[in-house]
Amino acid sequence: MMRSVRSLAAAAAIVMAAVACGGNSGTSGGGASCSKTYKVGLVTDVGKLSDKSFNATSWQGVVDAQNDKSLCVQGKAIESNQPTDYAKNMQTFVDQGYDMVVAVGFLMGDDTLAEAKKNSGTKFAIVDFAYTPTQSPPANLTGLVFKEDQAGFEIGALAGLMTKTGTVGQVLGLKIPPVVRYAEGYKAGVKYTNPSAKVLEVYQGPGDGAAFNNPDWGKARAIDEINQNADIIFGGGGNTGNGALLGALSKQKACIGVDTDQFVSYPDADGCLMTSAEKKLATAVKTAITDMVKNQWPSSNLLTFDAANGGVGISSYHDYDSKIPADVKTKITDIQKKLADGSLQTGVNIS
Amino acid sequence: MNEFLQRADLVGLAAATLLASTPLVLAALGGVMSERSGVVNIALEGIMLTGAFMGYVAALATHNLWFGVGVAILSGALIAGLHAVLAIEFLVDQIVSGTVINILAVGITGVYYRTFIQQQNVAGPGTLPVWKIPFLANLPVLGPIFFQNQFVTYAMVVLVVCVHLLLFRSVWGLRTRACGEHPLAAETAGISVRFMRYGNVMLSGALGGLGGAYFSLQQVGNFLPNMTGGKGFIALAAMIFGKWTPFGAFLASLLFAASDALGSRLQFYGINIPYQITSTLPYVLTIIVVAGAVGRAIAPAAVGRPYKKS
Repeated sequence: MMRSVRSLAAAAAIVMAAVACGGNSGTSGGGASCSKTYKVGLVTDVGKLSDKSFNATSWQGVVDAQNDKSLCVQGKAIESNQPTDYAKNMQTFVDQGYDMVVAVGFLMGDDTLAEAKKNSGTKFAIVDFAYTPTQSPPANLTGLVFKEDQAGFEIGALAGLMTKTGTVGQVLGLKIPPVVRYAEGYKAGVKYTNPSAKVLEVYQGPGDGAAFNNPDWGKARAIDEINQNADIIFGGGGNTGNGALLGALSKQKACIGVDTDQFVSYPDADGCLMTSAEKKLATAVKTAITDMVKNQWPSSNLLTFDAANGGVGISSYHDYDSKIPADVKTKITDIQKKLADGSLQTGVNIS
Repeated sequence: MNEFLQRADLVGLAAATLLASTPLVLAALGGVMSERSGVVNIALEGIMLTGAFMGYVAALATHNLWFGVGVAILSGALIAGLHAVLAIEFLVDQIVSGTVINILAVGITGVYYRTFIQQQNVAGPGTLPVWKIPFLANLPVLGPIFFQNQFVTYAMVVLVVCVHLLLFRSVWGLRTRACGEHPLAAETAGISVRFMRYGNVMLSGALGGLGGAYFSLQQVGNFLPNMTGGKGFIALAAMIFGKWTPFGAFLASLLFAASDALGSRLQFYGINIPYQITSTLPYVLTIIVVAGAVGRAIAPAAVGRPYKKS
């Protein structure tokens, strides 16, 4: 009996140690000639900084702001291990007197709203979330949203033009609005350039392992879709999507990345990558930080990034450039222009 | 009908099932070996995670995937050795020491991942090559399912047979089972219970370590915090469902893997069940199995009971 009490205590001690080591942080910056240094804290969702896309790029926005010496910004990140950490991690920054907290991701919407209401002296920006008037968001809170459907439309148009089998696939993360906008935009884009083409899609369900973080699952699903004749796979969901890219690579099919130029951020998949559907998370985060520093905080609780202001788009074709015919490139450029000037609509309206 | 069959893609489903069953089978085999010798091994989740991490680090450092696989196996055996020391030398409650290892593995691999690996944006070591077995790979149906796989999956199939032979057709196996059923009798017959238990727990860890290599070296070519995602626990359910036999564990793992592969596929079969429900299939199945709906499973008599030579 004594023995098992002792070992339970040992187990508990190890749990505490593991928990204490669970959060990770990066920090630096702050120029020498600053009269005031603005402290900006970023809290990741469960996708973490290691996702090489969503969280990583948002953090890049903080780093960019930090490197811009005129802003006098000092940044720090906390990674969330589970959804119940979101509020706690944000509060940690507030308690340490941070000027601004950046919450990364739709999944943190409710917690960020509550934290912002509670701490009116701190500015809050949340990536991927738009509050409705009925939620009465306070003035210190702004959502940073993207028209992912426009980026999805562009890669869909490309996939529609490039598919040889007439079937393309997409492997997606959780079914939340930003992901659905990508997915629906992708389908609309495929139909726009290739009305007879078929689009296979699969979303990661709650039982399919860690949300946005299960590349093994994503890879298997990409191979499923390839078995069903798909020859281009769009991987839209953090590490889960990265797995889908690997699946396409292993079957020598083409793949399309998400959120950032994955040719750079995820070189493992360079062998199959046509392009990536980008949303300029870093630009958005840096814009919000700049607004905070310059005292130009948006009064509408919302900053929107779309094709018109360069907030979404597609990456360079890199190694795939030579495999894409000139007329396809022309058509894509044309579609980008039309999306930017508003003469072409994706028809996707999800918020 | 033909169109239905093509859409159902049963061959693809079977191939996906065998692939997804790989870590489950390896961990379940590890569980069988350990528990047959009388040591409960719920540490398999942590052992796999350790193997996945160490294997990846070794492969990244040496640019040699095979070295990585070796390190994964070895590190699995070593961390299982810790479990063995706690359970055999210090007579710690085996559930507690297994839990300690599971938590330790998550913490340590997570921390070292963040400090050393996460920062770099270099290409990883890649993944183990697909070996198409000459001639056999071109067989219809069987070829794509069995003969176009990667190393860990081939090894898994071979190991099912090996572990069966080892446990039920060898002296080692007879002694192992004696230690798991009635250690005092075994000791009386001149068998070192301590030695047999150490041996089996560490072999169990080696199997778990290889299961870990499936994630980081065969499938993803990368390590992610907690990437084993509970597969070690599902493997334990498979072991119980398979009544502590290698073939039983293999078939049970296939069932879990099939429900996993099928659940996701229902989305593009156009069947109107919310995918949130279908994706939970393996877990629902696990609960049913563990709740004993499939007949009584009898564990080795002395499993979980520390044995002290008196």
